[in-house]
Amino acid sequence: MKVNKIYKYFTPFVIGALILTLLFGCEDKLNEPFEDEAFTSDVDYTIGDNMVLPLLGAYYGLYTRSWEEPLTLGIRGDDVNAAGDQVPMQEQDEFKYLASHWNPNSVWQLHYNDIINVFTAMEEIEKYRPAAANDALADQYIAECKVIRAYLYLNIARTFGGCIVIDELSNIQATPLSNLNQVMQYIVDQMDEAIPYLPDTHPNKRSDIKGGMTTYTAYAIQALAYQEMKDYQGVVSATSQIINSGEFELSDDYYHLFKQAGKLDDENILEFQYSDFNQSEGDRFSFLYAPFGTNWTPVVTGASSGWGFYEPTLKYIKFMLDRGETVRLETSVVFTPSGITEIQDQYGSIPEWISNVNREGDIFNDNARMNFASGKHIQPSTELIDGRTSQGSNKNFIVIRYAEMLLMYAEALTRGATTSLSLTADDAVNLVRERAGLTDLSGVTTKNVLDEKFAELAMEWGTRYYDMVRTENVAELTHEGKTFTMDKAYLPFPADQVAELPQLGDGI
Amino acid sequence: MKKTLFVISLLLVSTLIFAQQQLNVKGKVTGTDNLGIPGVSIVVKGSSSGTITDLEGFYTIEATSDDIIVYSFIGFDTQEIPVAGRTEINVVFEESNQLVDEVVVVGYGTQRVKDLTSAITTVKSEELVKSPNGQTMQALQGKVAGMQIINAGAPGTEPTVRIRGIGSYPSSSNSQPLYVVDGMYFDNIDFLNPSDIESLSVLKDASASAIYGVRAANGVVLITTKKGGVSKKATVTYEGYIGVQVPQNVLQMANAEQFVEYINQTGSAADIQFIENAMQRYGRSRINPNVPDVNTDWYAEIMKKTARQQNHSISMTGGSEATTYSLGVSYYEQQGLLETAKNSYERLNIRGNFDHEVNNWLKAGMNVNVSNGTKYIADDGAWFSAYHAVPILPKYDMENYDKLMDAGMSNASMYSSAQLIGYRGSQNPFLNLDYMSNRQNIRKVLTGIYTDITLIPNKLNLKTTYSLYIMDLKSRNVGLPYYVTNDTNRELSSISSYKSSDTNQFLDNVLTYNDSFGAHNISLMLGTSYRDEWYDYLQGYAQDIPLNENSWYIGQSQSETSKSVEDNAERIYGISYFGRASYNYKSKYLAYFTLRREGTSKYQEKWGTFPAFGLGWVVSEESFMDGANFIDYFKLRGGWGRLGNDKIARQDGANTTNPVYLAIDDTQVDATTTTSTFGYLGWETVTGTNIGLNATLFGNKLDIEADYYVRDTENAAIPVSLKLQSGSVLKNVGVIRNSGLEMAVNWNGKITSDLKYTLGFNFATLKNEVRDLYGQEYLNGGSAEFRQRSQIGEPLLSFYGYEVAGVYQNQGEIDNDQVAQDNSLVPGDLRFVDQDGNNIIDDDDKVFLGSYFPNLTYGGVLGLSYKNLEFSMNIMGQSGNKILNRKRGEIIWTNDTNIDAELANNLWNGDGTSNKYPSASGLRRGWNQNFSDYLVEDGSFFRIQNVRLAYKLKGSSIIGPGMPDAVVFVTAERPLTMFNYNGFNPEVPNGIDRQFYPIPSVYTIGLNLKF
Repeated sequence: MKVNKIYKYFTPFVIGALILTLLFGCEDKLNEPFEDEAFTSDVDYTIGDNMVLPLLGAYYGLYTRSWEEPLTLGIRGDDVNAAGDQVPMQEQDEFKYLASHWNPNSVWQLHYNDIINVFTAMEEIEKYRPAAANDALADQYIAECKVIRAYLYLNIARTFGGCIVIDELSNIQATPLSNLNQVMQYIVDQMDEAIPYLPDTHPNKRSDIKGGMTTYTAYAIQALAYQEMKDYQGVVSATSQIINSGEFELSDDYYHLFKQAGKLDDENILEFQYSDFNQSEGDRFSFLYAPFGTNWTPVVTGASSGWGFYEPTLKYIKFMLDRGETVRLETSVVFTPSGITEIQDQYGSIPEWISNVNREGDIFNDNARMNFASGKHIQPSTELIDGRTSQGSNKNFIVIRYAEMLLMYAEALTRGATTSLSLTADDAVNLVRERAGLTDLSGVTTKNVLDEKFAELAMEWGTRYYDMVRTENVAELTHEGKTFTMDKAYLPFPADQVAELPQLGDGI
Repeated sequence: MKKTLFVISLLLVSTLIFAQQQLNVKGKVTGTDNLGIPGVSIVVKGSSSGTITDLEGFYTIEATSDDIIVYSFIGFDTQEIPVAGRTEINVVFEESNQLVDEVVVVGYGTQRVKDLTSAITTVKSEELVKSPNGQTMQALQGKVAGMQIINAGAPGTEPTVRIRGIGSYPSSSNSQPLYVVDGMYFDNIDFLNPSDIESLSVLKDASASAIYGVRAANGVVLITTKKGGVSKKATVTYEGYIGVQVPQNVLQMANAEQFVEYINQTGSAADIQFIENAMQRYGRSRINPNVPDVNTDWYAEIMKKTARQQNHSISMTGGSEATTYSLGVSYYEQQGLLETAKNSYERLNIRGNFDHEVNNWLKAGMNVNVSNGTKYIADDGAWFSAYHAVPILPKYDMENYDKLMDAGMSNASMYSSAQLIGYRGSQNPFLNLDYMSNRQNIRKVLTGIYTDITLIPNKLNLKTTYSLYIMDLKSRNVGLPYYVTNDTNRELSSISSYKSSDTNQFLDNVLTYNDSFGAHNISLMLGTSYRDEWYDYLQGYAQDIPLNENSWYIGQSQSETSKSVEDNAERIYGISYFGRASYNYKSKYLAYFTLRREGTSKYQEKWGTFPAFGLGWVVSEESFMDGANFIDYFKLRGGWGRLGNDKIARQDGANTTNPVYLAIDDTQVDATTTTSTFGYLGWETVTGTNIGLNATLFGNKLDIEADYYVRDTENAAIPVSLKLQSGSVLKNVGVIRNSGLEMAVNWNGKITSDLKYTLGFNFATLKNEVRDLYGQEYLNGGSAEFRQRSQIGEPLLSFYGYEVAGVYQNQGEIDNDQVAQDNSLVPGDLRFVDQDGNNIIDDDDKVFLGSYFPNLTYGGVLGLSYKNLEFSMNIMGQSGNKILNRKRGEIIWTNDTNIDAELANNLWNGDGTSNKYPSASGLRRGWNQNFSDYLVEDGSFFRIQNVRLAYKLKGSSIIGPGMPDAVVFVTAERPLTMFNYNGFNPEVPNGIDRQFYPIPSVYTIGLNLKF
């Protein structure tokens, strides 16, 4: 009985105690590593060959542009109308700026995303440097990063008239605003730093990263920065390096330069590369060309049309017709039936070759929101890899061409800069003209060169707009009912950025 | 130790005990109706011996002549009767009117309502099944003061539940409370059938919920599923209803004529051209030849007139002296409102539990709850498209279809596309609806097994529970190919299929000790909890699968290169030690203390400590209150507690090095990008203070409960915008306060013995406020175009923009206004308030335009019963919240769309026509697209939530013995909602109305049977 009682009363305790003690062994579970996680600290920096990965990551950042970026940069010139239904773009085209417009904010943020991406890429490259055991290569990669970064700063500063040049990522909030000239000087200095380490060749001759940055990309960006600073001697010295290298040549087929055939052409100094990887399906690396496209009846059924946001101006077309341009007009402008009627109404008789059908047979139809489209950005449907249907799939986006360098060189000479090369301003301009099937000029003036740039580089990245702002040519930008004044040269800092960074509030 | 002493003393003094005269006391416990009450607990006061009554209410117990026998049963007043030498004691129990004698479930135990010092609201199971809802929480809308419930219209979707505002930034953690179902933690309880729930308690304040540590920052909802009762004869119950859902408050869109008029007013040549195109393609209206012969009401097209909803459940409960059981099966079905092949939710639940008393110290039991749900989710985008699609576009375009068929186009579709008449987008909502199929199979199993060991009878016991929850979710999302135009098509079918599983295991040990020393009553609880929560996910994707549904598998894909697979997992361990001590002196002075020590593997900082305490004073027990006869019960109480929120991600700033690829010379090349925004996060800490009172007055007719609370969330994880870049990173950088007053008043009255009535009303105020941002003045949220800002002193995420002063009516007003001059404005443009008076409208003129938190929510109930007839009506409402009408705001991205009729009819169109809306062309100017209170509307509403009429039939008296009792009822759920907002429904969880599934009214007829 007693034993029973003891048994009876203690059993619960024993069992209870047993259960409780089971638990205390579990605390070390709290230190279990987390599932499915990779940290930078887990990256193996002892594999020297991987040093190229962060560099390619910087290129990735540069190439992954959002559709609104080239549009926002391009629409304000007298070469382009903002078509389509995007109110902010139309208002910017009319030089009506609001700090609340969404697209400049996007340009700002997306460019800075990639600038910051370059900073981290450079840090990563440095981490690989010891294992790579190739200082020259590491230095080259860092230099390439600087070129990428400089291009991004160039865009932002030209758009907003200045920006924040980051010295350290942790110090952004305390970094003062730099004006346009300061940013351009920064770019010039950065390129000087980078050039000694870069491959001294045409980008398409690079074997490691074909189409990547070389000394000549850096010179081209430096020349653009000098030009913004109106340092024309600087323009000549930078462009001379490119011209004198013998690496670059104008494509003899202007039309196809902007098609598949122009990929990594000898004329191209910088281009964003996109590809379907020669596959009819699966992975592709692409840019959204749809806003450039318009309604069409493509030769290749299923080739998607576009949104029709980017329209060459009637002013440009008239200008080209006046000059008797053919291939450059055909390449730059896609005509719709209504567009052809409009020119006939407003210009009079037009050359017979003007048609709403391109060489490849794609028929361009009317679009209620625009009459012309940008041929440099529209890829014929026949060039699509079978199975791909997206507008412009597999097409590269040319950013800086040799033709622009020649014309910048020529303009600088007309402004009194001197050159050690035998190439004269006339020679440089005529190289471009000959390719376009035009007769030579002699004794070219600054105006001749700027007109040539208009004809040659229209619709490309706002080049025309920057030229007109630089030369304070209010009259040209005041066109087709849009009134420009110099206080509209730069977009206001996006309201959203001002709210985050008070130093932007005071303006430039 | 006490136990040991007890055993020793037993052994030593056993002779003494046996010396006293033992009596065998017998008797019967009955109710006032003379029927025996089974399961009444009978103990000899001060001893461990006890028993319960049998099925007929009879009992036998050994006691001495001097003993006092205590009879207790839930719902009745406990009676203490001295034996005084008798051998037969019959007891009559009177039904207690005093709710305060109820016991409520609290964390890891129960407490008498009388002894509570914190704000806990218990909802009875009858209340839960009164309204026809598949989701339990939906039934509570308007019924618990301080708990905001925002319905979701899509079948099978859980409502948004907020207890006392929100303490966390919405994107970093949802504000759903913790659901504890039979001891297991849940983030949602969509798998439960409301009819399977026995009791539901809402722990509102921190002092009550702190026992749940890091999960309970947003309050706790404790749910126990139905159990059997000791010595109860088996009861079989059927509850069911069938009903229809009817869309209500359907938003009126501009019809074709109004649309054409609006477009003509815009003067947009392109849009006028599209109308012209439509007239050419579809003909001209015979009534108005300037309007196309098409007038599509897209909401009417995509929405069914009615949709079915039904619920049936059968359950059986009962028990013998040692074993109790409860079983049930239930089926719920809800059809969606969208006009598409499949948009529905079905759920079958099976449930069972049994408890067994193995011997006098061991009790064990288990429960199982299995839920098998299937959801066909219709693409929500259809609601968005239906708002924006132009009314001059028909649903079908046969001309195009015939052309496609003639051309032998595969997958040709009859649906129209707005691109056929020149628009940029396809607009037709049916393309989203009919060429997408999204099915979810949701299988959830919750099971638990427990042992309850009595260490000292009626005093000390140890309960060990092992709970296991397994969730298996299979989601299959198929896109079907179609061809309308070159740009309105999906060339290849695609399938995205994923499986995710949750396997959560909890092991809880709870030691409970109850004792009384004279007038001192104490209750102690000590416990440990071990948790292992494992989430696992596997997804595959492929294109080009066959079109018949039985072939919708990745393996059937014809496209090897399109196949991809992804997976991830998370496993979090937690260990907690916790305890509670509650004490009362004569049930007059109450004290309560809990402490939880919480360990988690989730964060860098592993451990946290969460204390809470409460005090109460039952004033009505004091002798000086004796004179106040109208006061039956009056208690003042207060509590404070601290808890954590571990719903915050453990880290943010996407982790670090990511593989990407790019194209170099047409070759795919790997690369890495590295982000520099990484940061670890820790849990948020919530501190809450609550003071309240409970009163019962006028002979238990009037109940009053009132609470005032302040809840502070510290280290709140808030997204901080990255500088210069896009995006943001979460940081523990804020203090958010919610405070408010809650009150619930209930009156139970009787006019005659047959006619009884209940009147209840509750309300809650809420003030949400950002108190600190750790050095920053404000943090921006929302999107750049529709800015929301969290600033110290303002509610979280308040809308932030310009205040509209009116509309410029004429050129004179423009000429006299510097701002209008500078910005080249025209009559019909909005006039913004120049807050700083400097004649420049810029950032300095932006102001707070309101918040999406209602500052007042209320609910009420009227109940009437006359003999067998019962009527009840619930109302609810809220006020003070704002809604961003983003449907209207979308015009900033795409302006060639339709607008709602209210806007179309009231656009400014000449001097004096509107001082609220801009002109038609003004809608398309950037100036008017600045974010302003033109887009921010009042979200207040009042609703008749539920009307129910029920008739009770006593089968045995009508038909004959053995026949079941029945209740037949009809209900109208949400028959009327009144509001001013220009949308379907003012219930918008985050205040941004872009595309929401509308909430229908539901009308049902139902039957309950009890055998």
